[in-house]
Amino acid sequence: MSEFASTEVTGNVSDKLGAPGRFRTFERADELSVGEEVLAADGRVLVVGGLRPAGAGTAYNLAVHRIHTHHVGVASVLVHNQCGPSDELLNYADDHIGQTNMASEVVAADGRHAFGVSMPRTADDLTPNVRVAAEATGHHMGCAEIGGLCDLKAAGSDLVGARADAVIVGGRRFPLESHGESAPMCRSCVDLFNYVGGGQL
Amino acid sequence: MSELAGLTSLSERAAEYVRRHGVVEARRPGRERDVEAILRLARSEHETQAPPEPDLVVVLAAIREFERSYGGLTLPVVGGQLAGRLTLGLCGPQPVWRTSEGRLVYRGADHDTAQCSLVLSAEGEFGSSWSGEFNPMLDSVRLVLEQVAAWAQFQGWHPAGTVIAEPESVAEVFDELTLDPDASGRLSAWWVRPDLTVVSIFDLNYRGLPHPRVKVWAPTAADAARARSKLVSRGFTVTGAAASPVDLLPRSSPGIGRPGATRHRRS
Repeated sequence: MSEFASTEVTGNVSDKLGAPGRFRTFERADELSVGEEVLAADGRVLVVGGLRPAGAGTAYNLAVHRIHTHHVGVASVLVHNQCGPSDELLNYADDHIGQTNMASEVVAADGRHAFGVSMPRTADDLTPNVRVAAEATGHHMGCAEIGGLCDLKAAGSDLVGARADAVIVGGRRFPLESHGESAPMCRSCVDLFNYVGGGQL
Repeated sequence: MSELAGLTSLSERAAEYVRRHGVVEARRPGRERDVEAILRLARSEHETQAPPEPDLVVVLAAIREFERSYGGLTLPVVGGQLAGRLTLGLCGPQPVWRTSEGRLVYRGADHDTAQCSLVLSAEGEFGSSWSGEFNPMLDSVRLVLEQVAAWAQFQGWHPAGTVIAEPESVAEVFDELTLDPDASGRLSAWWVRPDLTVVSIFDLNYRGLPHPRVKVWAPTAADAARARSKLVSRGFTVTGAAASPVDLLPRSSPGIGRPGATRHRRS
């Protein structure tokens, strides 16, 4: 829950269909520009025609079966409304204080999720599909996200569209004052998730 | 910048890179604490153990010299395992420890996205640590800076692939490669020619690997594909071709634990 100032996006519907892989990122609604494209539920591309302040108030993270991505409005624009790591990830990080440097939650498109910590791993520690992705992208396999991906795959999830959050675990490399801070993906994980998202597994 | 004593030992290429892109960061409260205080703490902690540890004197002296030479130096890195932003200097809680193999090491660098610790040994080797162990990667901090500068020569180059094998056996596949002596050492080697570069280096995490990873890069995707085909034709198993090209510009990232980072609380 957080205070927010919201922005309404007004769109003009084009007749184009979204190319697979064309839409890779979410952008803050109040930072969209006229002419940028967003994706509708039926695959059509909507062009942002303008932005209109829609007021301020209290906002909530909305999740349906752990999925924070929804279609909203008359035009069914695809949006993502989570900010920050989940409580479960923070609890998982708490459980590993002093034992590792980073904890990650990876969420599959089907809503299943799994956790991992940063640790030394060999290729044999990975599930076959994640190993293929890690080797293809030259990933060193030590990142926390790798553990989450392997557990998701082992549980039967499709990794296409998987997303990850990571937070600092204090007490080893980082001081306890930093425990729970968000951590950006490393360059190798960006490559790995792009590879997985491309459906090549 | 000129107050850092270690910069005088660099090659002209590395010195120029540091001059152009390096900044000396002020120490951040709560992250990099007063070095002398840390050393006093390390000494008191270790001296309570029996038998006494004569190598502690060596490592504490090495830390002082390291801080005098490089402390606070921050650089953008466009390629390799350290791509991102690297800050040299003693950092983190309990930055000095003894590995399970008995080596005294210290956490000597911070990185904006790496999830392991970046560690130096009393002998000056640079490496990684995930759970207290020490994985040497480069012979020295000087070589870290040399390789950071070397990567800048290959901005936008494409990955031909990665091979796990004796580095020389991979380099021999390609004619007219010459060793870059400034960027090479005992643990890592770098070969170049105008349309190809071959780098052998242990990864941040190389558990279980008998050799460093040997990575081949080329200026265009077509050059990279040709180099990859040549490696395959010589019987090598080639991976890593789906990695990103070397960055054109240092990537912008808020970084791990940077000032202003959001510490999340449960909703």
